[in-house]
Amino acid sequence: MTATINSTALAAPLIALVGNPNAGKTTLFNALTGLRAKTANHPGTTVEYRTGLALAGTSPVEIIDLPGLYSLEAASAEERLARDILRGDLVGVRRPKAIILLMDATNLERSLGLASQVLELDLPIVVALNMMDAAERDGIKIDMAQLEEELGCHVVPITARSGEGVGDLRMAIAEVARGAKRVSRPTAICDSCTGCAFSARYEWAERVGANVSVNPRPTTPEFTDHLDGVLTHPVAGLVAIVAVMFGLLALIFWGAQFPMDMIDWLFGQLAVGADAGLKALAREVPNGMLQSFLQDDVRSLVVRGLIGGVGGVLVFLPQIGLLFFALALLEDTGYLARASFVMDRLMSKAGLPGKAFVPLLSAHACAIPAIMSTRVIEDWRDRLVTIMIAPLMSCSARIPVYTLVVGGLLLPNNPMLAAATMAGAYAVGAGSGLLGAVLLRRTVLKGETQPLVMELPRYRRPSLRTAFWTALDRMRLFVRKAGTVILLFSLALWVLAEYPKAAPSQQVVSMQTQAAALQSSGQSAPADALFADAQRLDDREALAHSFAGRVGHFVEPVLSPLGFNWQIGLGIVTSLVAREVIVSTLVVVYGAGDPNAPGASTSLVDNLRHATRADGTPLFTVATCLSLLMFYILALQCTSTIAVVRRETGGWKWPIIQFVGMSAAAYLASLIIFQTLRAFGIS
Amino acid sequence: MSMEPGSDLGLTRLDHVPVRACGMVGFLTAPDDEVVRLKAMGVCVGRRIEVIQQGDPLIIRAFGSRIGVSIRVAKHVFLDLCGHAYSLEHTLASDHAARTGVLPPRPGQD
Repeated sequence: MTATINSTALAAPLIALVGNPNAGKTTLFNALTGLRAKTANHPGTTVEYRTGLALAGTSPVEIIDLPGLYSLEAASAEERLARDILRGDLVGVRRPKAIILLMDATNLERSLGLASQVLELDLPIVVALNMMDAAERDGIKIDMAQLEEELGCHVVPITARSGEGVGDLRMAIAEVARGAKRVSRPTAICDSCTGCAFSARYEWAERVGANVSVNPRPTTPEFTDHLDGVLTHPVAGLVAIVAVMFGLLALIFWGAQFPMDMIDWLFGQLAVGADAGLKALAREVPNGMLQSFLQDDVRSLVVRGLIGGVGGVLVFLPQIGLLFFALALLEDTGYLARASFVMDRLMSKAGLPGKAFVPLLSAHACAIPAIMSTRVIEDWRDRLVTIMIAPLMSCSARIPVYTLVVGGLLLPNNPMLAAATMAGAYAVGAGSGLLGAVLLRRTVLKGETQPLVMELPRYRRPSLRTAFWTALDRMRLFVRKAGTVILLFSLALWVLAEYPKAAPSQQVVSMQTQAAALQSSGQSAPADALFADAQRLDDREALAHSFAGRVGHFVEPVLSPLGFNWQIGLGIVTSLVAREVIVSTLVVVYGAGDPNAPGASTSLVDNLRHATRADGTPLFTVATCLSLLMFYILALQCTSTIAVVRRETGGWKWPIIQFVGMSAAAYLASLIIFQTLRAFGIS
Repeated sequence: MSMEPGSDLGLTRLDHVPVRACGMVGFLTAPDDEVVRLKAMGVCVGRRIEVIQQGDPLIIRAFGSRIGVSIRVAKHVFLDLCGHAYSLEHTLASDHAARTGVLPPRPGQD
């Protein structure tokens, strides 16, 4: 955020990087600033830009990478922000001292269209003429001296992808940053325009383009025609999308699995180490009360609250990193624009833009990076609808719940039907999302989607470096912004599950006494087993006595029409942190032991299958299982998602609407399922 | 039977233009924000564009770029196909449309 620019950045001249979309702005920005960049949102908006320090000659300058523009006529929020910053009209942001105008050598005329407006801003300008390598391949020859004369400013030929010419550009930036080179404004571009002012600018651009270059507007490469014939075809294009997106999902699901397991293991080891360290520390403390405080409260806070909370956030990083890395590569190739193009017609029927397709598909891995990736959608209302329905897609965190309910409880002996039911759960999620979009478009976000007008950029080889930096930037953003909120939520739920403390029951004390007797008689194996049983019973009773347990009892009357008892209610409350938490909660409540232990899931399933209600009837009947499944398909049980939606929408209004709406839909759907099945005697 | 706007001026709606055919933009009747987006992309009165692919959305080439355009927008863009002689009537219509965004009244109309 601009307000947090450090003192070095404040002292450095601010230089704006301006250019058309797809002109290579991000690549140049990364080449100039490296890892010294940060992403910013202007207060009160969700429009994003990046700032970073770069060396120009021997002095630092601060580069501000403005959103890609076709003109300074403000048609979108991005264009308004860029225009306001360039004119110095944006409160809280310094007016840039100079401009780097990025032009695409392979499409000089289009770049000149924007240049015609930027040149009128009366700021020192250096032109970075990018993609010189591609222009050379296309047979485009540009007379640099003539172009400098036409534009009245210094022109530096570069290839940002390879870094060629970037050194010369740094020297040129140093000159304009000192104000040494001002634009000698070219012949009036549009001073006396009549009719369409754009047309006059385009005529100027064509004239300049023709004056300075040979073959300024090459025919589209033949392979682009052939490739577009397939990739934008209504049928073949869809097949291509299915193939590419399957690869993308496979990468997120399976590619991220190993690093996620590693992070999980690292935090597990950290928890074990901290647990042992704090126990050792507690033994050194002479004061009994302080010892008990360290042994119980501080240890639990550090191990379960802090390490568990931070680990729960960081475990998503591989998925976020891989998704954004892959999306950056796809975008760089020019394919993503084609995928959005093909999907536009289908998605618009549900009130969604074509560009919503990729985020919604990504949401099947995790809603968090998917919501962050909705920034590709320019129109705010279209983006908001996409954000609101993204969590309805069945994410990977739902898999443990689906597996437990469908494979473990509902259809344990029918894998084919279980697989079909799982597929049905995914279909219900996606269908509910589309229905949600239609409802939103007819109620709070009335209106049609913004119709597609989108450039289909040239196909080109993607930049691994740009993709890497994009992924890194997104991961940093997630950790910095969402991490803090998620951590607070985790700590709050830790407090709810931990307090108030209860003294061990007589039964627990009795079991511990028996275990101690067994141990003293040398029977360590049965003693350990009895100690473990006593600990589980103590955990179960402590949880029932805690605020969270009381909440479980409190919500039981509300949830009982859905077929849920207070234990499931407690699972629903604790799984507000993350859906899969219901599994570990049920492990504790039904005394299945350590969830990480080998064979634990089997014993959990056994315990759950035999679980009964207070009246002795079976708990997990077909009706309860389907009701619980439907609840988890539709409910927004994920504080990480809530935190990211708050961040992306700039306030609490939309995450609250989303949470209430999804919870109400989940409640109603589960209620209808349970009561209907019960009415037909299937409970 | 109502005539399609522009047909009396010899103009063709963008979504009716054959693939590989080109034309000069005669006028735009889209809402203001759409007009700004189109103009910024090079679809501007008096500019030459070419149809690459028909359908919804369709693909045109304008100002050196390939642009995907929804049919909802395309039906508001009218072209004077390449090869047609410019008529005085069309020139006047273009100027009028550029200034006001609406078609001029036909001779004899109120």
